[in-house]
Amino acid sequence: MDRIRAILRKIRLSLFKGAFIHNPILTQAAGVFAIVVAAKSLRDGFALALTAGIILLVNEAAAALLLKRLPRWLRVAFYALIGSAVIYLAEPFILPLTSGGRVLPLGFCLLSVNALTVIRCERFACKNKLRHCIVDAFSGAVGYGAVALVTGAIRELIVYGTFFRGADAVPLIPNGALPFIAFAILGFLAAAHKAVVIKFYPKEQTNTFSMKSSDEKIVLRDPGLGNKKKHSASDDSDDYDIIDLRPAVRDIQEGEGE
Amino acid sequence: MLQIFLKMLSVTLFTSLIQSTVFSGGLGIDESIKGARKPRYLVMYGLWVTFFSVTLAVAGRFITPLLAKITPRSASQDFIAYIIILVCIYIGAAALCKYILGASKKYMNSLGFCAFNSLVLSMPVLGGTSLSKAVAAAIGAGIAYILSVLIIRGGMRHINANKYIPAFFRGTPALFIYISLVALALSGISGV
Repeated sequence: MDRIRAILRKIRLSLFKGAFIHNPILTQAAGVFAIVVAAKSLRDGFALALTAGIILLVNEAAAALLLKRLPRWLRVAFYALIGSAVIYLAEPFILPLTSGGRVLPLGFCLLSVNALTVIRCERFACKNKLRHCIVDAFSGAVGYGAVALVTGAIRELIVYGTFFRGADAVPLIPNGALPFIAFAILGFLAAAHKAVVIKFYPKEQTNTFSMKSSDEKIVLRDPGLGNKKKHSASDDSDDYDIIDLRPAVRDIQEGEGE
Repeated sequence: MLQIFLKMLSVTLFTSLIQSTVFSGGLGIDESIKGARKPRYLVMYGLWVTFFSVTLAVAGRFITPLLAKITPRSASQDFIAYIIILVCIYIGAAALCKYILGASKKYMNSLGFCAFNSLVLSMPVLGGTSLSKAVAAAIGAGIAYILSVLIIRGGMRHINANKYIPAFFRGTPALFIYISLVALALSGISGV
């Protein structure tokens, strides 16, 4: 009984860390485009959170069960295919939730190539067991969804002056639905989030907010064509290696061990 | 011929400089931020993004009229077709790089990053009304990606060097606000 309690406590902690402290959007800007393009109102934000969550869950499960046996360059294609299939199947349920409700907005259709899914699958799902992946997908989906909801709600209030009525009304601010307002909202949300983390969880912020560009020079030569062995140490780094998932992995695994 | 070329040039300049697909449209912003953090092979990435954008835009021009005949039509259905086309193009390019040109593992991983992003996938929809305009818009999207990486990288370096930014605004928050200001400026220039 104590062991089950300990595991549940660790899972709760992992969910909290994955969704809030290591929030994929507010800390490392992963999956921003969909929020900027699609979350124009609270309704759209809700639909976006739901769709992105389902895609993440299905893709992580598929990666943990089947796709990890494939080479990585091929896996990326499967994530997009699975994502588009999920959107197609979910469209009848999502469409009534969106503003307008007649045609699925572009931002939703593009969710199949969401960077968040690829990052989570490559950095976590391919290296862990299914049950760990479900916890990770759930925490990622909650974190992503919360930001989508808050951004959508603030954007709707500022631009349309409404709440949960959708983005159909005439905007109070001309061109207010353009992406710059979403970026600004995300900036202030990220600052508020960081202030809370610094104040209440100062130990957790290490290695989390590393949004720094490296000092490397831009080169014209390609990194690996006809040159299988010779490439620099920086070439080995990962394009998707932007979120430090080690704390989440460690927490889940410690929970299993107790 | 010259008229077509000039029209294409005008569309390319418009989509890359004035109404940037990345800043004014928000498409490909994740890849631009990631590219700005590790810009070493920006030129190679930019060329691949342009290649995938152009090929998908051209394929989209031919496939969209066929999709229009399917009833009931839905947006997600169209995007399944575009994704399947993109996967075919990607596998062809990847096979060429891996088995004929002898690409490294890193190179192969980067190829997926260049092919499967919102900027490339939006091309069949945003490409324009004619084939020449679709190609020009796709080339403009590739240029917009390279320019956005350079602009974001410049901003990141200044933000990181600035010690007067409050602690909770450093990093991602300041970067978002910087991108917002650039997007606002470009929207102002394009007059959207």
